[in-house]
Amino acid sequence: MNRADTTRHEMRTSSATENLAKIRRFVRRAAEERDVPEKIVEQMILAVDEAASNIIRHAYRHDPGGEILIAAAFEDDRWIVTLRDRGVGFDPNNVRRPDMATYLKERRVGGLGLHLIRKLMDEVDYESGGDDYNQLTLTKNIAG
Amino acid sequence: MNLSHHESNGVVVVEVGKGDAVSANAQDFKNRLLEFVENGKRKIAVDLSNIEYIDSSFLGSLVSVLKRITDSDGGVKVFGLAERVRGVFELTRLYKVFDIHDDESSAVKSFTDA
Repeated sequence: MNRADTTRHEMRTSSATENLAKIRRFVRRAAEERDVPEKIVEQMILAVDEAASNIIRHAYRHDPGGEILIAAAFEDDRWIVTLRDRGVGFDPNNVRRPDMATYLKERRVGGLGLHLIRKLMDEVDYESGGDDYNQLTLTKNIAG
Repeated sequence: MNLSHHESNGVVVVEVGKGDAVSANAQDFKNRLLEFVENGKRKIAVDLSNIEYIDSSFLGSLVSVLKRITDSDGGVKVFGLAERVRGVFELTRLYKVFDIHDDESSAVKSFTDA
């Protein structure tokens, strides 16, 4: 598919936990444009869900009045989903990769979401504060 | 989130009702399991066979309960994982933390074998 033919799907929602189900449905609908293998659809849904959860929990600190913008598009064989927010940014390099050996011992329940996102996606990019937005870009190769 | 439970050989078997195991119900799930712990129940087997989708918040709740119960010399087992739920346990490497079983009888029996 020519890049110019790509349809861009967008959704704007608020940072309420109840909206995560809506976000998951949005990702599934966006996948219908292309013949995306079901396993990859599920991986993208989980990654976007985890990213949106992190925005709600960390960027907006559970304030349901925050704004989340999500866009999904295909570029050749790459499926690219971006999530933007105006909350508190973070440095993903400072998020510890969970060490499961000490995970239980320290009751360390944070960091699992970002760990999952990195495992599920081929590329993960994050920009904090540019253009007043934080932007997380998730990329998955759909060619298999 | 619909949770039902029964006891089998001193093990509380908690069946998680049909739906998604996600952040919207993770706290409720955790609180309800911790009620068992506070009431002296230290052996819990969680039936996830009705669950098709699980996120890290829900897994975090399971870890919290396991931690609490391990402190009191008990345990949490999980069983009935659908393929995609099992995949999330594997990606997070939580299969190393939880004792995972195919079915209820295996999960319950594992407490007496321990």
